[in-house]
Amino acid sequence: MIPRAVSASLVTFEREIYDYRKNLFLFALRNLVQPFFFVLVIGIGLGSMVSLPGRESYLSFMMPGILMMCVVQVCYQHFSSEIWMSKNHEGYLELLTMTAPIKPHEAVAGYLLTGIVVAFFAVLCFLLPVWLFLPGFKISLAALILFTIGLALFFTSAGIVVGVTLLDPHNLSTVSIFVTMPLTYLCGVFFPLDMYPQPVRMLIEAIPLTQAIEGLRSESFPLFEIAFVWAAAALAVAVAVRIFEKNMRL
Amino acid sequence: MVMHISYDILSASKMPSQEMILVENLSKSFSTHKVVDEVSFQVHSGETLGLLGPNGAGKTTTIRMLTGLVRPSSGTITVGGYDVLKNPIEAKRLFGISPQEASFHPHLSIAEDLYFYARLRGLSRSESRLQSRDTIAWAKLEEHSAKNGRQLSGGMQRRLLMARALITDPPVLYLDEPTTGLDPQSRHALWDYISELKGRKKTIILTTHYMEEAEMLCDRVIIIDHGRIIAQGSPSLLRRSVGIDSVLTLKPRRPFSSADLLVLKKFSGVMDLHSSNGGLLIHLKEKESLDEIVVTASRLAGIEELNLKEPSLEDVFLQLTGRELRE
Repeated sequence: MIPRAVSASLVTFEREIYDYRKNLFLFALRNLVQPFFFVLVIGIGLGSMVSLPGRESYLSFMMPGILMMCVVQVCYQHFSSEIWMSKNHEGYLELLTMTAPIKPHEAVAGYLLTGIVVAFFAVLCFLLPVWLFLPGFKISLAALILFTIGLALFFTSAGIVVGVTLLDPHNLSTVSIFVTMPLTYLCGVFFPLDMYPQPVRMLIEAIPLTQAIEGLRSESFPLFEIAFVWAAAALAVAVAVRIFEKNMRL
Repeated sequence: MVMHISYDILSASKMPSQEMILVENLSKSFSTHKVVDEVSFQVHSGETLGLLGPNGAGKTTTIRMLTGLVRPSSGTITVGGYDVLKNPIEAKRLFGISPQEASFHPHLSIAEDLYFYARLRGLSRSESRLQSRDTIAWAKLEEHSAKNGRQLSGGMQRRLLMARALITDPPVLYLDEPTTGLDPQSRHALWDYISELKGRKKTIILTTHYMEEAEMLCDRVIIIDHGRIIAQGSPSLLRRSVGIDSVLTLKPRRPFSSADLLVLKKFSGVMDLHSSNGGLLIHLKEKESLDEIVVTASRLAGIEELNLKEPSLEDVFLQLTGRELRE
């Protein structure tokens, strides 16, 4: 017998995944186009003119960053818009709060679980062709799995917070630009962190995405980076639950 | 509608069967504005209670507090003996809601939407599939089951919302303005559905702007204005309570002047009178001076049409809440 709270979270998960599956192609296209263009234009195109001391190729240097960006894109973009729509357009969250025997944190747990699954799907969509066309590309699968879960929790939580808080849909895209653009260009996806002056580097290193990217590039198993990302994820989840509860009860 | 629920919701109720909903000293303020002010009422099992009031009177906020969506500033609400705030899960199992605003997922068909709603309400996959199918049949939407809710007409959407509220066959239903904006055919069809639910002994709270609807469907009505209950009782009791014996409507050949109205108002038995749509509406507390009123009115402005009827709930409502526009 599954406890009611678990069952309630699983139903939210089931519904979200069903919706995702129904529109799989569109979701995949929306979230994977940008990373693929980064690989083609910057990784293969521009990257052929760049050599990094001590690195195999620019493309293999860039790949962990692109992989983790996929997770950010999928989780943040999907959930910020999905939750906003559910709350402000479809009235689904209101209905859920009014009638479903489900507590807000159980609904959030369902969304987070969905976030993890869609993040793995995005990573897989990206990795399969990479392994096909770049057979030499190596990555620690254990670290990849742990970072994917951590970042999925962190950025799904961020998406939930933004989706449930914002009222104006125009602000949704504005906030999205401020979240995803700096992450794309500042967190060491395209260049090593050594390029930053020390104080700036410390700030950049405080972002979980930076830790995940650096961890995946590391020669040894990135225990510290994984712990950092998971701690940040735990904090983000707590904040998301609190804000979701506050916003769903007037 | 055939129900296949595996558990008996009614047996889960902690309250004596006669008192299904109990609201005590309920208040809600948004910043300094008190929207609901010390409202108390109870709804008996199998009773249909109408919540009436002008726009902004506090009806929807009251419904939202009953569901736990809005946290009351003070007061308590119990449904089936469960406190809505302290035991929300148990309380929510006992009621369904047909909300004022239609809410449908943009990517799900109505069959899928109902399936997931049933799942959220705690039914198993097979029960949810079965209930979804039966619910669609009850709402007579079989031909449209693959469509999205937004593709349905207003009447169909309302039937679907009501059907969705019933998917686990809860004993309590909140129907928030279920017929607003519908054409007469759709409205009458929904009244038939609500009558059927009354026949099934559901406890119903119905908010509406249509007095005819409240009069026809409600065993008891509560009139709320400015967040407070200003009257409650059965429609017939309310009609008697304001002291209106009958309503005389006159359509004059020429408009009445202010002086004419003053003359008519002085007759004994005239409670008040209002000009409306070129006619004159006179509330009478007795019919003693009726013939004199008609003769005088005819002399003053001529009479093209006249009508004498018993007061309706709408007359009572307007008498109690006034005729000024609220928005």
